[in-house]
Amino acid sequence: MKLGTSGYNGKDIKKTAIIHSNDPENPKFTLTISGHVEKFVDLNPKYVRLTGYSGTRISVPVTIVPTAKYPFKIIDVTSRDDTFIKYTLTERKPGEGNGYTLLIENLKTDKGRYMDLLTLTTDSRIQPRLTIRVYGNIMEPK
Amino acid sequence: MTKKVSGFSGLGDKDMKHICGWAILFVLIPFSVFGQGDTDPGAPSLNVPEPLFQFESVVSGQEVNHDYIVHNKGNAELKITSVKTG
Repeated sequence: MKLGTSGYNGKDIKKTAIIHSNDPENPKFTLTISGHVEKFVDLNPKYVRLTGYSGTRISVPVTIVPTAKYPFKIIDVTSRDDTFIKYTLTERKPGEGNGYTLLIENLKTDKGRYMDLLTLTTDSRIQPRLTIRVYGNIMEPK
Repeated sequence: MTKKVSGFSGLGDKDMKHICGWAILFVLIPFSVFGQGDTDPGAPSLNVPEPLFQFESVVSGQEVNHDYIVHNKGNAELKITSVKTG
């Protein structure tokens, strides 16, 4: 059995698989896999909603803090669509704690919704990529 | 001096008791062996010695792989029709 652990940052995981067979006494047999998934990174928020009125500044800062056990550096940030958002990555200052702040800003000027995906490339062999989903909802001013 | 003969020519009572004893043993052994299991002779029986696998903690993003060993302890062919994840 193969088990992906992305998205289980710091949580316990338990998955099952059921074998269906012609055994008359056990036509369904359950296999279980479980364990603890350690946190790799603190992403806050985990996804971004850029909601607001067109003509106003809409932005959300995301803090990215590596856990002490698995330190990493971010070496690149790319977006899938790159049409409606702008993003700026800065290292946090000593007083703010370690890690990074990624500021994501809306560029869409008219009414509408969009979705984008930011990919952060790290120098970690454990997680070479982190992703952040971005949902935009731009409304007309009242 | 005459030897008492019963049933089989040339065999005495003592010999017959031995034969009967062995015959009963041979008849009972198969029943006792098949009677011990819960499985009907002629039915498959799926057996997984370790159906629960608990892995040591891993870091998020790491893939966990585990092979479960499936035995057939029955007397007929075991057919696995599907495996569905929950």
